[in-house]
Amino acid sequence: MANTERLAALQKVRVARNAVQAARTKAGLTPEDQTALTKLFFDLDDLEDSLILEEIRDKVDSMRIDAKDLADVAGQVKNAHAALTKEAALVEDAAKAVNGLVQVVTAAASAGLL
Amino acid sequence: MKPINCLVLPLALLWVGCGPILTKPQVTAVSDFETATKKYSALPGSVLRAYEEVHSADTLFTASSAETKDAKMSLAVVKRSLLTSDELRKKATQLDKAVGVLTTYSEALTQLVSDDQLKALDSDAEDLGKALDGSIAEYNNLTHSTENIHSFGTAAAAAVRGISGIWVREKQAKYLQRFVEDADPMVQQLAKDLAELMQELGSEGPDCVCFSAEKLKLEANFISYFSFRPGFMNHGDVEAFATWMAKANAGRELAVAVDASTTKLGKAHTALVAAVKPDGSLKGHLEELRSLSEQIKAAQSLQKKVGSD
Repeated sequence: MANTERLAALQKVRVARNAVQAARTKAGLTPEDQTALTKLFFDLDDLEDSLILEEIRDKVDSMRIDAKDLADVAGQVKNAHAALTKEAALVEDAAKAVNGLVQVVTAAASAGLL
Repeated sequence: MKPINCLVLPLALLWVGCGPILTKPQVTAVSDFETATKKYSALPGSVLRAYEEVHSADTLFTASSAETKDAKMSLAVVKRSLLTSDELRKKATQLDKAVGVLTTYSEALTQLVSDDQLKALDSDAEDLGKALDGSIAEYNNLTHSTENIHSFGTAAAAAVRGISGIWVREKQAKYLQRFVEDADPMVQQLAKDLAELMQELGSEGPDCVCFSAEKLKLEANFISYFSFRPGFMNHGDVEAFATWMAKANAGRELAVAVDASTTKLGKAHTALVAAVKPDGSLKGHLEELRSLSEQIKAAQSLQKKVGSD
């Protein structure tokens, strides 16, 4: 059911529910009539509940879909951050490589090779 | 000219022409957005929970309007009320999760533009500087050469730190711009849907899923509840109705406030998209340069630190 149709139905159900509720308080009703009106009143209340739940369900579900797309972007941001961290770690590798080279040169010098 | 300036400044200035780098106001804008989303995230769910509570109370008053001979029917209403409440609470939890993605997204952005990589660079470059200077000193001691090699480790480390820092900031800026632009339609859609739900819950009239309709129902239940119980009004019951009416009013006010916050959140993201775009104005350039200068300062402070050891 579309949102506007559902809300229009909700309004009609509430109008009917209020009318039945008012009828229940009238004097002179037989116990059978009273029970029948109470049943109708509760049935309308049940119908109102179903329409309310449908409305909330639809709205929250559509937000869950919106959020799923955004969660994908958030995942991409995290991946980009991880990639940047990895790339920055290359500096460390470069530092280690230069350090190793200097140590080789130093060792060669101490051995009288240079 | 000190070695640091010889190495870092020319390269850094060359870099300016390559692409915009991340500026401090951009980092602040991302951080502000994260703070806002964190503060906001629990609000929509709390509105739906408040609605569930008022709706449940309303249904229980409805069940209480049956005569004792119809207790069986009343029990069915109570059971249905419990199921409806359960379903609404589940929806509130799902809403929390959906809104929580905004926080996840904003936290990821903050992490992306953080100084994490730069801190790693500080320590890596510092190690490099120390290793170079230490090895040069050792070499000079061993060779006993008349022409000692001058230590250049500190300057080299500073150069590595400075240039790498600028490189990281440039990449962060590119990623940030791309991701906030990609995410904007999704953030706007989520904000629009959230605002619609809050507007409905906060609206007035008989044709909405809203606090005001629940309040009208409470009033109608109040009349029938006491009509079926002739005699004096019971203070405790009157008080219970009054409490739930007040909660319905408070819930409506909360929904209206959250609707306003939701609209602001959407606008804040639009502002964020604009803030992370490369700024063509002079102010923007100056800001980029200021950020660049911070990278150089970081390199210089590293130079001093390594040099004093």
